[in-house]
Amino acid sequence: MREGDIGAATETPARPKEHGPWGRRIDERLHRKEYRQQADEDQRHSTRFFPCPSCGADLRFDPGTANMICAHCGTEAEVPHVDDAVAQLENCYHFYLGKDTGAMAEEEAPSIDCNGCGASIEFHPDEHSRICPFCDGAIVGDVRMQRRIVPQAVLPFKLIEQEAQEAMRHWLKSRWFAPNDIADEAKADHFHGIYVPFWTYDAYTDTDYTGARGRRVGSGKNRRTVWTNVSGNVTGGFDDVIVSGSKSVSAEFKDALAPWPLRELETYQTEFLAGFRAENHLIGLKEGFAKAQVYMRAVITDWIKRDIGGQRQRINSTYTRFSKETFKHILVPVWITHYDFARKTYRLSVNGHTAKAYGERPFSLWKLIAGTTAMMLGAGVIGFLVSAVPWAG
Amino acid sequence: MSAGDYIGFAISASLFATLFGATGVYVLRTLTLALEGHYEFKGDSLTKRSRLAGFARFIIWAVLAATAWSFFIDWIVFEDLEFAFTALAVRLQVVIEILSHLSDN
Repeated sequence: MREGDIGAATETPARPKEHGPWGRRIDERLHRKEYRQQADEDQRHSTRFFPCPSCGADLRFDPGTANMICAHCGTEAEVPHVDDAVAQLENCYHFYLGKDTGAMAEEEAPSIDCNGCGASIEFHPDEHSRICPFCDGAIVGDVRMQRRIVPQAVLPFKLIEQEAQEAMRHWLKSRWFAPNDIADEAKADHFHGIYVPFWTYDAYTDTDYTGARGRRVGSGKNRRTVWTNVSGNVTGGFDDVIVSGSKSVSAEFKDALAPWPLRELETYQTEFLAGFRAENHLIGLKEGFAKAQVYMRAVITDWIKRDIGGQRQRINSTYTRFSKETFKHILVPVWITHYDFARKTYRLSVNGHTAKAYGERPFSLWKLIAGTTAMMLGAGVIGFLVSAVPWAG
Repeated sequence: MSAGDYIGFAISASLFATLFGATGVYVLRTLTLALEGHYEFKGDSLTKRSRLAGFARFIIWAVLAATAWSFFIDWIVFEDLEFAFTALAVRLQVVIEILSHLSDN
């Protein structure tokens, strides 16, 4: 493959002319060889291996740039620019739901399912060490080609592994009530750069509700709430409600690593994924929208309470109509690692675009006890002030 | 106060310290996660909403701990358990009012 041809579609070479019995045999051999080379190249391309034009080693996407780089000889190759409009394209939810994802483009990727956490992760058949990046467990099983929906957009990695390590150290240092030496002692084996599938949903909502507005009257023992029945309608739109398409990246991690700068999405190209793993989505379009609706309904509840007004609110019934539902299927970059501290393993992730880190963390029991003692003393001072002693004269 | 009263005071004060000490560690942990969540979680999300419940737990714990302290202070200073209970009952009414106001908000 020549420089500049990276990612370009390649065609099967035309069958050469036949020249007599000998010539024909040679031509056929040549043809078979060329065809095999082409097939190998296509295979490498579909499994996202891009050979360096200089040395033949694998090129990998260089985070923070628009280039691919050869780790062996340093040769750089530009990722071809593709129209960015596709990245921001909103797809009609009902159109694709009706087709049950059959209308979405699919691709095959060599993947393996983790028995421990259930993640479906990309692995090359030649890789000997198969450790699940999500749960750190050894994976036993065969790599097989799995079909998955081609994402329309990808948020490329901006951080290199060292920057992710720095983000982790900084995050650990800033934890309250954490052991003093955690930032120095926490040992992360290796960071895995993974593209995690996300769904983003837009919708317009129109909600009818019935409820009651509460007003407090009286004082002391006679204090009570007087309720007045109310009904009304609230409307509003949601833009880019993000749902993880992965069962391994929980809602907690997804929310903590936010914001995801969706304006910087690039149209999906396999070159962005070179050198990184991609997780196959396990949460489908419909299931993802159901999760988005849980969040939307919580926000709609706030809208209704605000609409009811008064001192207290009661919601008896709601009926929400969703319309103009659209979605995007994207890949976002996450550095995932596990660190060991005091013989326990903690999971930590870093947003591969913004360097925001989040993870599980240990607490120092002694610090918590000291903090609780201080809280008890503080409560004691307040207890003294509200007791009868200062007022006894 | 008789010796028996002092023993009773010591036992109930120890129970109070143990109960509120143990729950205090848990409350401080959730308060820490709530504070970190408040600064870390950008934008609204269900996770952030559940994390912020840690503030409410801390407030409930602090109000109850202060009320319990006031009872023990009244008891030991005035050496009158009945008076301490009467004052506690009045205070608990105020506490219930405060907590119901907080739950409204």
